[in-house]
Amino acid sequence: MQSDVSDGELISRVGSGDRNAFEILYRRYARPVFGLALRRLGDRGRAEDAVQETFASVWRAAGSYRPERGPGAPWLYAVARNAIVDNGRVRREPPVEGVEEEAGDETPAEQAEAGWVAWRVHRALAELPENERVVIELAYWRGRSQSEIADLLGIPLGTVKTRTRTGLARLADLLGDVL
Amino acid sequence: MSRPPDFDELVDGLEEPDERERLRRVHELLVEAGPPPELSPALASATPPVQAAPAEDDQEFSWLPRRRLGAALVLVGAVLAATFGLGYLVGGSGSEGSSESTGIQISRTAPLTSTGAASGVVNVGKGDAEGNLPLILTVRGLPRLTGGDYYTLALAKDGKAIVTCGTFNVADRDQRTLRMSVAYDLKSFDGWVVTHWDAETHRDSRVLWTTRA
Repeated sequence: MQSDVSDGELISRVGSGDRNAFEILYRRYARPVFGLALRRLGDRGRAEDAVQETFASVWRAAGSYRPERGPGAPWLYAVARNAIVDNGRVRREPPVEGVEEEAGDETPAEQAEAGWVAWRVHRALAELPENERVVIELAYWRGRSQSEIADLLGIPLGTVKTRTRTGLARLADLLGDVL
Repeated sequence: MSRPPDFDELVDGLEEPDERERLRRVHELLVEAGPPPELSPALASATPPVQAAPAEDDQEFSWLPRRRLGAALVLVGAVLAATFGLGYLVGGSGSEGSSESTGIQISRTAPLTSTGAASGVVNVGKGDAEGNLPLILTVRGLPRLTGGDYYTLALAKDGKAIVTCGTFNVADRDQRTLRMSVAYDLKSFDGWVVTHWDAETHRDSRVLWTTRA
């Protein structure tokens, strides 16, 4: 993955018809878009449709992206959100926010904020070096203790701790604007 | 989601208050965000179809009609998958993953078993300079999954899936050969498992497994 190329630069290149840039952008954002769609739509099939539609829209609209107006991630988020809303409307089903089961008593604004945070977190995770990402995913989403991770990966406990802390610090850098 | 980790355990020994608070906020965001979902095989294997050139003016974009989008998917998705050589190369039936049929030099083989008629084999190729290991997975006798369900090949430890290698689906009870690539150190694991993700219950269940990586 060409992590040194910014999202904005990739979008601009897509706007010029660069399919390789489009491919890189897809690899970066497919999971965040799918996560957002699944969160809002609550259905894998519809969420997959929304991913397809999001990237079809990215391809068509990339020429309208203006780097001076802001970075690429919020632009992509807006395109994805519109595609997801469109997905709900076309099928004449309840508004997407209405099916977000985990939302509880959250207001639409709070739901949008939660979606944006998850989007950014998942995108930032994808930026981590593999050895840091694995220990963080095992800790947070597989319920493994630091000692268990050390056993599972066959590395010293101190290495697990170092990679975890380094990964968290790197995430803090990447997520600076939402901390 | 699993219980969140103990933040104090994660940053044990970190004394600097500002840095500790910064990492705590990240910890909270990770817990709040939850895990990113695994992509289905269709999404993981190809970028969406694109036909026309991108818009070059400043106008708002318009959506492709759904029927047109679906048709485009069929036509162009395969082209893009072939062009970009993505993570999964869905092979035809009958291949056993030999070096001759797959184009990779196989360095180890791990058979997969089940309690029923389903079976499979994982062939691992030689890694490249960056540590990427090509895999050829062949499965037989698995039912086709519907309703958003999918299979996952994972490296395992003590029979439990630890890291995902890829997701896939099959034609009903047919033999299927898939190519994947991973960058994990196999010595950290002791086996492989294929699990079935149930989209309704959000639970994984083992369908194939082996005890040696």
